[in-house]
Amino acid sequence: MLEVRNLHASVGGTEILKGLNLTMKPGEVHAIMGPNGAGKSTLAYVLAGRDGYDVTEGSISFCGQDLCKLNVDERAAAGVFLAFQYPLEIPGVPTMTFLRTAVNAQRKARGEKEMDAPSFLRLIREKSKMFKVEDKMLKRPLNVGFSGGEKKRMEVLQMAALEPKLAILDETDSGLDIDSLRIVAEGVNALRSPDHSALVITHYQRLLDYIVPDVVHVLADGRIVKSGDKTLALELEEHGYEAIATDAA
Amino acid sequence: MTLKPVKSAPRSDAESLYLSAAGARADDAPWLAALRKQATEEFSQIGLPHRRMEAWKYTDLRALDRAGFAPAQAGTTVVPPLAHGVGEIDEIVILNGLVVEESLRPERFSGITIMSIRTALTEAPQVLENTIGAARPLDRSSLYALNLSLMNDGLVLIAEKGASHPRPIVLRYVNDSVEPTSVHVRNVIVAGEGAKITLVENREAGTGANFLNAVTDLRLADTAQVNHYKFDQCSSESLTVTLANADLGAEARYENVGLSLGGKAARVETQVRFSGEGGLARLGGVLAGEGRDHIDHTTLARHDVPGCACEEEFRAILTDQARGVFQGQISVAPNAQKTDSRMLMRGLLLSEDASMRCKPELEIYADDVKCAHGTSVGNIDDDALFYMMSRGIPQIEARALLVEAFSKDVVELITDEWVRQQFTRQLTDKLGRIVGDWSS
Repeated sequence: MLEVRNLHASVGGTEILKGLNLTMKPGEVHAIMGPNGAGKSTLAYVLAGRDGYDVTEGSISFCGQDLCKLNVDERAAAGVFLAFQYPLEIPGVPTMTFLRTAVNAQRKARGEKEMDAPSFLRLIREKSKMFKVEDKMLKRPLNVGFSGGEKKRMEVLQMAALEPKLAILDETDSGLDIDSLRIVAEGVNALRSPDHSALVITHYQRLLDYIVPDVVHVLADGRIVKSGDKTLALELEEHGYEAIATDAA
Repeated sequence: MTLKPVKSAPRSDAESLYLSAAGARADDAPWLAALRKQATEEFSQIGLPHRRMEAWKYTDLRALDRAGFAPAQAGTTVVPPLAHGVGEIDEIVILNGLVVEESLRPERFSGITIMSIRTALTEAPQVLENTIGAARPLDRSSLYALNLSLMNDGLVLIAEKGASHPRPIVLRYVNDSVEPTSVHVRNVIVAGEGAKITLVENREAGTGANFLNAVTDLRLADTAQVNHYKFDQCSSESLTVTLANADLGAEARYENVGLSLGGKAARVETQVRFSGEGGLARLGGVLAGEGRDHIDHTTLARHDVPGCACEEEFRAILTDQARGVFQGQISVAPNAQKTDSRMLMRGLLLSEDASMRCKPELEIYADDVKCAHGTSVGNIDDDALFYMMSRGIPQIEARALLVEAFSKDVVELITDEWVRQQFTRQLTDKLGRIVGDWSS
């Protein structure tokens, strides 16, 4: 489903990713762990197509499409979703307007029928309940005045409403209390199915207690230096990144 | 205050044209004849406002209006109604500067006297003498003088104590001339104690290039409430200069929000004088310009008494070579303690060549006041754009949403539902064009 080969990417002329390889099969959950500055967030932004994150070499194939040739919104319509580490506050844009525009823009791009107002409301009501997003949050401008936890729950609500084939969670656990962490994990687990995969980027093993990964990768200095099953995360927690990275080299 | 001539420049064609039309009108009362004479002399000395005058530094009308606009002749068009819904609004038409008498329909109003200035000159001269004759604008430009000198007509609206009108009264400025023409309109609005009215000035583009110079005096007695809105569809060859000159009694509320959608030069000036304690004014505007539009919103708020509040919220959205100007002055007299004033202007420049000039001025002589001002000018936030696109919203739509969101705080100032809908619709149409052109 996702095939990243020899990916080199730079930001502002500095090379951050230096020949990264990653293969994900449909339905799998992969975790990417690594020290600060390893290139974890860069990988997330490169996959999502952010301006200023330039692919200089290598390829990214997603469900048979060359991802590098698609715009940010086209990637989203193709099924890529990035849950932000720091979701933005967007004053003046009502949350419901934003959600409906996003859902219908993706449907339109895929040649599907747009969702009418009642079905959309039903969808959001159902998902809000699941992720404890209160009505008053939905009535506010997007993320404006939300707490850290509320913002992350809004990210998961968006993810659930958009049902992406690949959800990328960029340190979604940072700054979360244990209850919100559980809700975020439930969101990912609920999405988990043979058609829906997730790439979980995290510093800590803690999130992986709730989202159990099929594969764990260690990213250091722009490359994946080690991959393994979920026990690798525990190993990392115990010995630290340095030991693993040195060991791998 | 009378402006002193800054320097004697040779008279322009435009100035000569306006002066040739000046002079006493047959039905002028002696006080009005004297005012006109004085105003004509003033204009003859000063000419059109230009950049060497502080208040017109960024809107140089002498440069923007070289050829001038001949005074309009009476129009012949039968103007179709603006609103299709029955009983939504009460329309009054000013065609080529003259009130269409049949559009007044005074039977629609109760507790409110409504007539044209022309009628008032013979039927209610005292009202005009007490208002126009006694008007003391906080800042008097030579265009105010020109208006006095050339005005023929306008609306007189007097709401009795406690009168309340349920629908917006929409004053439509329509022009059906083909040649470039100018109209000079004077409106007088008097709201008695506790009266409540909503007035909309709707400046329509008209058939040919034209110049609208409108002065509206508003007197709000104690606890009166006037909601005053302006829609300005000025074409790219046309000029609009409007001045609202409001005087607020104790606990009066005045709301003034304007939407300017372009023009060779559009200047919307609002002057508010707080004369009674506990007054509240909320002023706002959206300046949306493209091409070579020049849009200027200028406000002056003068606190002469304690305990009044003034909130100002302005936004400019400009593309191509459009120019925006915001000047906001708040002055607080020594005894006007407990004044609460804030002013915010934010500009969004969507092209390299668009520009915005902001001049906030606070002049505070009292020591126990709250006064805040802020201005910022920038482009669309790239992070916000990326965030929205990462959810599948195409760039053009994401930009449109963000640009529209930018003006939300101004739209929210509007209490009248019909006006808010109009405002949103007209603004969305314009922004659709601005954002569409910009991304192509």
